[in-house]
Order: sequence, then C-alpha cells, then structure tokens
Amino acid sequence: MNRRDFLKAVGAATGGAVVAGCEPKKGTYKAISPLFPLPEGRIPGEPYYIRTTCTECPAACGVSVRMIDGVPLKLEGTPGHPVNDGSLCIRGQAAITRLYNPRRIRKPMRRKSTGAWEEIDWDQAYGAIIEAVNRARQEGRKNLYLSGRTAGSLGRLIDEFCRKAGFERLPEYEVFDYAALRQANRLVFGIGEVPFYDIAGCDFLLTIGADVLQTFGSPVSQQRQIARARRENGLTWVHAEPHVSLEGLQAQKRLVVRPGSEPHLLSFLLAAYGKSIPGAPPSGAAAVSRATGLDEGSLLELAEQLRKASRPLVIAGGVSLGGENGLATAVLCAQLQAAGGMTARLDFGRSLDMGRVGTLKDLQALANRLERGEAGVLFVTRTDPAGTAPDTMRFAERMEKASFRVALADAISATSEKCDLVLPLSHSLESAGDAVPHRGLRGLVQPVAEKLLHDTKTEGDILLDLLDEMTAEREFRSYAAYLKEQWRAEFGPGYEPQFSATGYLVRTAARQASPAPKPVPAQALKTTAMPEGPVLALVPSIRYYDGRSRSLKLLNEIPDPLTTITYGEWVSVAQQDAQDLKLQDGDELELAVGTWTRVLPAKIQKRLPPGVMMVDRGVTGACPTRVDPASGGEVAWLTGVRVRKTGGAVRLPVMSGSPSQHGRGIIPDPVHLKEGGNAHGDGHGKEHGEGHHNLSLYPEQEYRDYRWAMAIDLDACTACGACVAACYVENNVAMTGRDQHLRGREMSWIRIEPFYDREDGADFLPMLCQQCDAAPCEAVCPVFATYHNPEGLNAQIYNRCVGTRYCANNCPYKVRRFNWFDYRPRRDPQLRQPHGDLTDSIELPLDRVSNPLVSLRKRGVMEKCTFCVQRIREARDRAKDRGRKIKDGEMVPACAQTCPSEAIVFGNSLDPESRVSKIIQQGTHRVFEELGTRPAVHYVNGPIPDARLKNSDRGEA
Amino acid sequence: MQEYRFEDEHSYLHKLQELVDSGVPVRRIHAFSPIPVPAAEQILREKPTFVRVFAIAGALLGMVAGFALCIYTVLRYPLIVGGKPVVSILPFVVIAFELTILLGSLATFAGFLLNARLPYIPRIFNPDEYGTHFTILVEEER
Amino acid sequence: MTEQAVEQHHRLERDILAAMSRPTKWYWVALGVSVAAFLMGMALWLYMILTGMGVAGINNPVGWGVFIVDFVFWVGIAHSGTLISAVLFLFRARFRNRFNRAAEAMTIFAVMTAGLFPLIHLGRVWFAYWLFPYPNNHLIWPNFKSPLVWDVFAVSTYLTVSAVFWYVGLIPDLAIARRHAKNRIQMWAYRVFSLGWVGSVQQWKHYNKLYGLLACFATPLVVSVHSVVSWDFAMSVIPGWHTTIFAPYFVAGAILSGCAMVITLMVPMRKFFRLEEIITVKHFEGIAQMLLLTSLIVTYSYVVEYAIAFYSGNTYEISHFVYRLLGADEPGHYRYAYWVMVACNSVLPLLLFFRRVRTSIPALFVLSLFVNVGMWLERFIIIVTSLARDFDPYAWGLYKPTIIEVGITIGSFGLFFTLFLLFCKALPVLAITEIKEEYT
Repeated sequence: MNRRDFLKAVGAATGGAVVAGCEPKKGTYKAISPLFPLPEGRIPGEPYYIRTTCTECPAACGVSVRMIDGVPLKLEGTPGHPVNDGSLCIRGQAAITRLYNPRRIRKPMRRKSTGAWEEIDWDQAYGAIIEAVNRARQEGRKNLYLSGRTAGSLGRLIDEFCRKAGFERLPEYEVFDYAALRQANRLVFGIGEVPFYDIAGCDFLLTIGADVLQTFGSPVSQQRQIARARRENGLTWVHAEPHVSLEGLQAQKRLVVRPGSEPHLLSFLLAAYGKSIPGAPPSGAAAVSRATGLDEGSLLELAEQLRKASRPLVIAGGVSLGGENGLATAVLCAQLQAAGGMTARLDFGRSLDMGRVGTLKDLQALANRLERGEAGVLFVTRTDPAGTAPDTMRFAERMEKASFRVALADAISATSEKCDLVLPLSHSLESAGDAVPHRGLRGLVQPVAEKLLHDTKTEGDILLDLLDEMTAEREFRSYAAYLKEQWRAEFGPGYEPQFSATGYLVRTAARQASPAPKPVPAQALKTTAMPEGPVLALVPSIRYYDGRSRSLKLLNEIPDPLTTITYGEWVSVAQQDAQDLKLQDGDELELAVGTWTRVLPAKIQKRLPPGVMMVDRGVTGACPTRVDPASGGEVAWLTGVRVRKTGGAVRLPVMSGSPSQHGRGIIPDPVHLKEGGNAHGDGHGKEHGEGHHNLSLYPEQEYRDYRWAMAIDLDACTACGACVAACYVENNVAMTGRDQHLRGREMSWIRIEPFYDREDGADFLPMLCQQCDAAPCEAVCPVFATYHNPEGLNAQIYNRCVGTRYCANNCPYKVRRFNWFDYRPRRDPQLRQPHGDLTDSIELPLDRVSNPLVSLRKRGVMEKCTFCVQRIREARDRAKDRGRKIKDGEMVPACAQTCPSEAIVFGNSLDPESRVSKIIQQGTHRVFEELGTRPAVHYVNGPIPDARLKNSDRGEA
Repeated sequence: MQEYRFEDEHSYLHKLQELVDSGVPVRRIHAFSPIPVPAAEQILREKPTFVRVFAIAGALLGMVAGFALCIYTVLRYPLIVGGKPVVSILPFVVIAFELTILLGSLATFAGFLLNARLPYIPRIFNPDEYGTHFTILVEEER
Repeated sequence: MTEQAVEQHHRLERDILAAMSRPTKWYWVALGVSVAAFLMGMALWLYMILTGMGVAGINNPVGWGVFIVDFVFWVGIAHSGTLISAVLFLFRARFRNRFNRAAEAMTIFAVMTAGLFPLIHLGRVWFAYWLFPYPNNHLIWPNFKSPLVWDVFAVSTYLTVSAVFWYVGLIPDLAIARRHAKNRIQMWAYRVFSLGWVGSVQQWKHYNKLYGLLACFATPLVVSVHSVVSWDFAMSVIPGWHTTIFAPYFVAGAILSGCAMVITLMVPMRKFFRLEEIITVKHFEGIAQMLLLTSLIVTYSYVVEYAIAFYSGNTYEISHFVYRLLGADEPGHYRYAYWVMVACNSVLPLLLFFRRVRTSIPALFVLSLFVNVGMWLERFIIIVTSLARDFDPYAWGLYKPTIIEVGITIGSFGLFFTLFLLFCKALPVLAITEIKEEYT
C-alpha cells in the first residue's frame, strides 16, 4: 500500500467519522411541536411560555410552562387563570421533577413466569391484552376497567372503549374521595358534590378539620381567597380540629376539639341559629363543652362571632370527615350552612369535578367480585388501590384472582407490582388532553416536551390503539385528533386561539345556588363516642397529597412545615404523651392496630392534643383504615392503637435547630414583646432600629436606578412551602439527600422557619438572603467573591469563590450554602461522590431539570439567594429594548411569583411609587435590625395594599 | 604582620589597650573575638554603625508601600463591600504595619551584610580558626 | 576565674555540639514515627481535595472546625519562640539564652505547620494563590478589608522575620560548627552559611546593632500576629467572637501555649542530649513563672468575656455564653469541653505558685502537656460553640470532627516533630556564643 492509498484511506476514514458524528442523535435536534403553532419570530434562547394544566391533584390549576428552545424549565401558574391566577402550590412546582422522575417506567413491561419484569414493545403488549380479552370472553369472565379520577374528554373515550371492547367501567377510585361530604350534600341539598367555596366573599370563616391550605378542594384557590379576604374584608378565620395542622396554626383562632366530637360543636352552633335537628347530639352549652373539651366561654364567643358576621362560612372536611362521625359532621355542617344563610357562598355550579369517583364501598364490591373470581382482564389506571385501600380489603392478593391484570401507570406501585402487564403512561407535559378544575371550566393539557427517554403513551392513545387492534376501525389518527374533535363539538369552531392563549375555556354555567335543605334520615346523624385510649390519625400531607408525590425527591428535600423533617417517615406524638412514654425525638415506637404493626420514629409535636398521634398520609401507604358504612368513606382515625417503645432510635432529619425563637424578636409580634423582655427583644429592635440606621461611620452607598427590596406579609404567609420548591427549580439548587441533611447540609436558599412560641399556635417566617446594605458577609471575603452590586444585591460570584466559608460564618441569618461535595448529577455511578449512600446523589434524568440561565455550582464554592438575579437581568434587557426602566411588578423572583397568598412583594425601593416602597413607608420589621446590617427584606404583619401582582405586565406574553 | 593569641578576654583587652597606648594606629590593628567585646570597640575608637539607617529607611518604605498597595488596588477595581467606602484606611493600617515590619527587618539584615562585608567569599573557601581564641593582628609599617 | 571561663567555653562547645553527634536508635524511631504521621496526614488531605470538604465534619452553621482550631493552635505555639528570643532579649532576661535557639526553631516550624491549615480548610485550594496580591489578568486584587488577607500578610511576615532573626543568631555558631564538621557536606554547609564570619570587632559592632534592631522589630510583630489572628473572629458579628478583648486575650493565650510547648520540647531534649549542666532547673523556673503569669492573664480574659457578655445585656451574647458554660439538654453538646479547658489553663497552672512544683522538672513536663491540651480546647470552644449557636435558632446545629480531621491534625504534629528532630541533628541546639558571653 503506497503513500497515496494510505492518504485516501485515512481521508475516507476521517470523513466517514465526521459524517457519522454529524448525524443528529434522537432528542437533540428534533423540534418539539405543541398542539398549536407557536407565534412567529421566536428568538432561540429566549424563554417563552406554553399554557397547559397541572395534573398533580383534582384542583387542576392552570400552568404556564417556561420553555427555552423547546425544553421545559419550570412550571408557573397561569396569570389570570380562574383557579390559581398565577400561583402554584409546592406540588405543582415540583411537578416538573415528575417528568424526569428516575422511577418512571420507560417501556411496556410484562411479568415473566419467573416473576421478573421483561421490557417488551407496544405491539407485543397489545397482542397480550387482546389474547387475554378473548380468553376471558371464552371463560365467561367479566373484563373490568378501574381508573383514578377521570375528568374531561378522556372519560368519554373510556366509555367508548368499554362499550366497544366489552369492558365494564367501574366507579373510579380516589383516596380523597370526599365520600362523607358528597353524601351529606346529596342528603341535604340533593347534589352529591363538593361545591366551590366562595371564601373571598366572606368576613368570617370557620373551618372544621378542613385542610383548606393543603389538599382539601382547590388549595391554591382557597389560599388565595383567604389571603384576599383577610386584606379586603378583614376576614376572621377560626379553625376547629381534633389534631394540629397547618390550618390550625395559620388561623387567627384555633379550637382543639375531642376527636369525633365535631357534631356536638355543630349542633351547638345550629342551636345558636335557633335550629335543632332531630337526631342531632344535645346542643346545650354544658353538654357540648363536656363532649368537645372546649370551655363554654369560647363556645359562646364562637357562636357570637358566627351570628355577628355579615357573610360567614363554615366548611367541614379533611380529618373531621374521616372519622366515625364523619357523615354526621358533614350533614350538620350542611344544615348549618343552610341555617346560617351561607348557601350563597356555596356554588354547586362550579363544584369540584369528581368525575365518576365512587367510594370505598364500590372498591369493596370490586374486591368481593375479584374474590369470587368473576374478573377476567382487569385494567387499573392512574390509581393504586393495592397500596392505599384499607388493608382489611386485602386488595392486593385478591387482584391476583383476575385472569389478566393490566396497569397503566408512570411508576411501579403496589398495584402494578401485582399486574401481568404494565403500560407506561406519558407525563401530562408530554401528552395531549384536557382537565376539568371545576364544572364549567375546561383546562388544556398539551405536550410541551418531547418524550426524551421514555417510550410512553397517553391513556387516550393506548385505548385508541387497542380499539384499532380489536375492532379494526380507526376514526382518529391519535388521541390529539380525537380531542380536537371533542372540543370542536363542545365549544364550536374557532375555540383554538383562546384555548391555546389562555390554556382554559369557560363555559358560563348559570350560578347554581344550593336548593333548600331537605330533612335528613336520622341514621345519617348517628354519632358514636370515640373509645378511650390513644388514637392514630392519618392526616393529608401537603407534600405528598395522598402519597402519590412520595417518589419525588424534591418534595422529600423540602421540610414538612410543622416538624421540619425532610426525608423519611415518622409519627407525631403530643408533648405530654412523650413525657409519659419518656420519648426523645427519633425514639422508635411500635404502633399496632389489629394485625397491622408498624415501627416509626417519634417526633414530639407541639400543640398536638394528648392522646392523639399523627401519621402523614402520604408517608405511610397502606394502613388499617376501615370503610365507614354510613358514607362509604374512609375512617382514617385508628382507634385501639397499641403503642410500644421498642428502645431503638434513629436520627430524624429535622432541619430546625430549635422550635423556639428564644425571645429574639425574629418575628414581629406583640407576644414576643411581652415574653422576650430582654434588651434585644423585638421591642428593642423597634425602638432603636431607626437609630441603628445612622449609626454608621461610613456614608450610605448610593444607588442609581434600582435598589431591589422585598416585603413579606407574615399574616398572609401560610408556610405552604411553594416558594421553596419554586426556588429549587428556578435556581438549580442541589438536592443533597437524607444523609447530607443529617449532617446539616441542606442547600435551600429560602426556608420557612416555624417557631412555637405563642401560648397556642405558632409563627412561621420565610428566611432568605436579606441582601443587607451593610452585609457582614461581604467585607470578610478575601477575594471579593461576594460584593454589593450597584442595584443593592448581595452578589455572589461562584467562579471567584475559593471557599473560605467566612461569609457563611459571618451571616447572622445563616442563609449561605456551601457545596461540600460536587452535588451535580453524575452520569457514571462510579464517579459519584462517596457521601452517604449512592441514592443520595441526584439520579438521572433528574439532571435535566436545570435552568440554563443559572450556572451550576461546583464543589467548594458558596452559593445563596440573589433575588433571582437572572430574572432581573432578563427584565432589564427587555426594558432596555423598549427604552424604559423596569416597571413595578414586571419582574418578580420565583418565590414571589408562585406565592399562593401573594405574601411576597418585590420591587425597586428607589421608586416611591412602587408597592414595595409604599409598604416600607408604612413601617416594617427587619430581622436582627439591631445588628446594623440594614436588610432589604422587610417583614410586615399585613395588610399589604393592592397585593395583586401585575400579571399582565409580567414579561411572558 | 604580628599576631597575638589569647585564651581569655581580659589579656586580649589588656593587649589591645597596650598597643593603642604605644601609639600603634588603630587602622593597623585587627582584633577578632569568639564573643562580642564592646570594650574593644571603644579602645579602637570605632565609629557607630550605619545599620540603623537601613532599618529606618526600610520601615518607612514598607509603610508607604503598604498603604500604596491597598489604595492603588481598590481604586483600580472599586468594589463596595459591607457598605464600607472603597478606600477605608482603617483596615489598610494592618497591611501597612506588617509591611513596615517586613521590609524594615529585611533592610536591616541587608544593611548588616553590606557593612560587615558578608558574605566574604575567600574566607568561605579557607576559613580561619574561629571560636577558640581572641586574636590581634598588627600590620607592619609600609 | 578567667581560667574557669576558658574551661567553660570549651566545655560548652563540646557539650552542645555533642548533641549533633551520630543519632541513636531512639532518634531514628522518633523520626520514623513523625514522618509516618506526616505522610498519613498529607494522604488524607489529598483524599479530601479529590472528594470535597464534605469528608470533614463541618456543615451549616459550623463552617469552621478542627482545621481552623489547629491553625490558631499552631500560630499560638509559634509565639513563645520570638517572644523568648526578642522580648526577653530586650528585657535582658538571662535565662532566655538557654532556650532561644530551640524556641526560635520551634517558632519557625510551628508557623510552617500553621500555614498549611488555611490551605487545608479552603474549599478550592487550587485557587489559594488568589489570596496573594499579584498583577493578574482578572485585574482584581485581594480584598484588603478582609481579616483573612491580613492573616496572609501577618503570618508570612512573621515567618520571614522569625527566620531571619533565627539565622542571624546562628551565624557565629555556624562559624564554630565549621571546626567540628564531621564530613565534607556538613563542612561546606557550615562554611557557606556562616558567610565567612571571623568575629572581627567591626563585624561584632554591626552584628550587635542588627540583633537589637531585629528584636525591636520582632517584638511588636509578635503582638500583632496573634492580634490579627484573633481579629479573624473579633471582626465578625458572631456572639462569642465579636469582642474587643480578643487581641490581648489571644496573645496571652499564645504565649501560654508557647511556653508550655517549649517545656514539652526542652525537657526531653535536655535529657537525651545530656545538657543538664547547661539548662538547669533555675532556667526552667524562669519559663514556669512566665507560664504562670500568662495563665493568670488568660484566666482573667475568661472572666472578662462573661462579664462583657452579661454587662452588655445582649440576648445573643448572654444566651451563647450560658450555652458555653452549661451546654444544652440534648446529647452531643460541648458541655464538658469548657470545664476541661478551665481546669487545664486556669486551675492547674496555679500549682506553679508552689516553688516545689516550679522546680520539679517532671511536674513541669506533665503540666505543660495539660496546658497544650487546654489551649487546643480553648480554640475549639471559641470557634465551634460560637458558630453552633448564633443568632437564628432555626439555624442552630452541631459539629462533630471526622476521622479525616483527626488524621490531618495528627499529621500536622508529625510535620512539626519531623522538622524539629532534623533541626536537633543539623544545628547547634543552644546558642553557644550567647551562653559563652555569660562566662567571662
């Protein structure tokens, strides 16, 4: 081979290599096309927003997906959306991490004879199903279709499928099925639904066990309404509960009632309206006081407030309807609503769409049919009965009596474990569909992300494919086409522009006032007294809802608002019980109910009434709950609990260093003025706070155009943690995992600090970098890695930082976070840092949740909140293009953007017209002001004037 | 060249005195001792050393350099930290002080080497006996 | 009389230079152990550089742990040396001649050891050079307002000046050692480093002036260095750090630990190298008295700290110092550390009021060990407890050193003793000339 041939060969080889290298890999170059064409003139690298709908819970909030070059970065509430108007809750913010959840199923999987899973392709899967269906037909077994709550067009398609494919569609199964509430409303008002509660319109709100801030109804909307009602019509909110919850600690007044004694309280209030219901418990003040444990004084006061109020509202729900007396409570509450003229604020025209959700009775029936071996092919989609149904139902083992079991799910659950075939479902950000937040409102679900690593399908597509295979007739190319057809039929042609622009369509239904109450059968009012002995309450979880969000690492990373525990399970124990049992935090308790036993570490929970123990619903999964025969709902109050101290102990990742603020006046509250009598209590800070300003030897720094500042309304703040989740997603804040949390190495840039200092209740304070004018952290940095920028931000230059950690030591607010390891995800497990167990480092593909506008921090550097400086820069550029300054409210940090109660106001304090400077002029409280740090974050105890963010000005449209 | 060696300091001093009194010019007398003998300096009417001048010069230079360095650099890239003015003298005093000491002592050492004619290469190669005897060398008249 | 003096001079040379004779088995053992410890420490550091600071126990809120404790501890050790040679020289305290050479060596080695720790504790040590002022393409310089930069200047200045001072003292002795060189390498080393010293009247004239001036420079330097180190803490806002007494408090503490370390080193050295006639109990008594004095000053500072805290009426200060005193209910707090410290630094040294203790070498040796421990604990308490409990109760946290930190600390002792052992065999361990001066 001579020289020329050699060169030819080399040339060819390299050329070939280059060409091969140029071939686009899947998912790198292909454009993502949403349902509707995007507006022209989009600049690559510019963020833009696509409207869709959140599918984390039935509330179905409107979502604007922040996109850059076709990659979804962050979910934000859709401004002006009838449900959530620009806000999202903690779970909504974390929804994007579900898209990249490492536990997602990537391909259809079939159970091998050995019991192991094998990945197959879709045609094989369909083949298996059809074969099974035919076999079942021959055997004369019934094919069943069980799904989770289904709203909108999908329901119709399922009906169609069941009809054509010969399936029986069963009532849907949800853990939070509002059985008692719906039953009561059916009995009293004749409408078995969860109405829309017009809280914004009332001036007195009494919630009985209803966790209106966490999971009940439409949490974001309710939070928003409560905040606005507080500001606009001085709402008084009283919360009565048998345990302790965020609501109890957030309401102006908290009434602790004995578990199961809610009906007594209600019949007392009914009596206050001069109404006595036959069969209701005695309404005499003395008797009620004995039953509920409330002193007569506060009972009378409550009745007084209720009668005095011009627009009162009473809502019963949550744990109070989850007990033996749930139905009675709900019925009496409905009666009270009727008697108190509150029906004007119950809108059944906008009631929560529970689709065809049945009750546990229906599930019990199914279980029995399975037992009898009637079932052939069983479809279980978007629900996990085996994991969440009462263990007495033994659903898991009975499922196996069906001849062929198919699960449609996004991850392996207790149910799909029992199935022969698992079909992976697309995430709602990958799929077309629609949602119904409440009657008369249709939310658009459209695909924004390409299916990056998963070979998944939407339920609609799967059903259409199956119909195609079975009946060989195909009307629709895809589920998307089917949807368009449906929408055209429903909303008429020309609906598209508005639908795609806003993400929702309103079908103006006449406001349906609730009709006059009907007499109720007495057995609905049957109340039984709670037996003595400790009771265990399964309470809804703000982080995990009914447990469905348990697998999301982000939600595990963020502390539980009451206990500040991040990872793992625990049982909350009252202080007094803990003393009796000689318990420390982390001591293991063995809880036994019937055959069910569970060992959980104890956490002492202040304000929890003695005798009551709480377990986070989302945390523990299948529990020995019972079916309430009256309502068919779940009895989530476990009585006859046997408690034993095992003697073992584990360390709980509790983020809070102390439940008390030790009278340091961190939270501006007269209570602390009294108790913290010492010099540096809040009072001291106030008296001399102004003095501290001018006590500087140095001249004030002068700012040219902007001095960014923030005001936080502590009355409005509900400690829901949505801001924390938003911050994690917006700023690529690392998730460090349980092991690091136990070492005190969480990375949150903003945190909610609970302080249990008032005699009853607690205070919560969001703590983030205060962007001090005289920042102690800045001066001590030897290399200028942190400095005060011309707009007042306490800037942190990551690539200049050498990691002395002096700044963090010297920060009085302890809001600076150090990268102890390289927390960035590792593609090769071998390269992962040897800290904790490997599962602690972020698993792929979670690394894709990363905002390209914010640099990832390497190991050995300090990081912190900078008021979302990347957003400020974005806004400044936009303003520059338009030749103006940044408008007030045009730009807000991620935390302020998502806050459901609009508690965070951000703006330019140099501009006297900006809302933030208006608030500052009113006089505010600044944490540790007496240190002379001159923070730019101001805390106020409401009300903030004109709290609505100028959504229209926000630079996304 | 005459050489006198002594075991002890006293006879050494005594001899020096004697030589000076007998009218031998001090420049022709070279005296060596294993320990410092201040008395010998008076006898030989030595002038005071210049080392202290170096010390003062070095110290002043160091102080000026310290302030100059701080002020020049912050003005070169003015960044505001902790709400303090860009040029804040107080913290710079520390730097200036340390540099004063540093350059001061280094200059003093240099001054010593110059004045004491050290290092003296020839003697490094063939060093004299040192440390045992007090020695006096007297040059012959030329 | 003079006959005796001459005799003395010869014996001094013999005895002192005898220490440099062929090393014994035990010397090699000691050296081996030290080097091994040092290498282990370095290996652990390498591991930490490769994985991350996280392998140490530090966290939020305790961002500084054992590394900074060691830094302050070693800088403290470094203080007695220059103090003994410079300050006591100016005060004409004769007994210092018996210790100054070794003490100065100790100073230099301790500073070198201390200098490692700021590097070790750095999150990104590969950018450590950013702390030094040099013209660079970032066009950015260090922040001279930061106490850490003051540290860089103070410590490096201290190292340089101490080294010069030490060397100057060595020149005449090296000239003596020329005669006793055992091999060519030694001979040439001594010849070169003694710079051809002859001890002429003129040389002595300049030499004395130089030595005096250096002493004058070194004295304020000694005070300044540990003051600057103390300002690393005093300049912050953290309760327990932010107090004006820190500078004198730290200097006194430094001298206390320094004297203790001198005793710890000199007692065995005196024994192994048979220097009993030269270093007598009388001399040790001098050091012991300084130990007692500084211990009293330190005790006073402990009291003042609390006085200030409570007098200020400042919540954070008061609750912090109460915490220091009593710890908290939960386990794992630093409750006992404080009392051990007080026992070691304040109570035990009071024994020195008794002459019998002052004049008993073994007693002094044991006592010095206690003081070393106590002073290390003092720094641990100041640094760690202050960070563990500062302003925001939510952010309170605990710190527990990991095996890595312990290992690196042991490694630092390894380095220090390695250097000191080498010094013992390479250079005259006592200042021959200066001791000679006493016998005339």
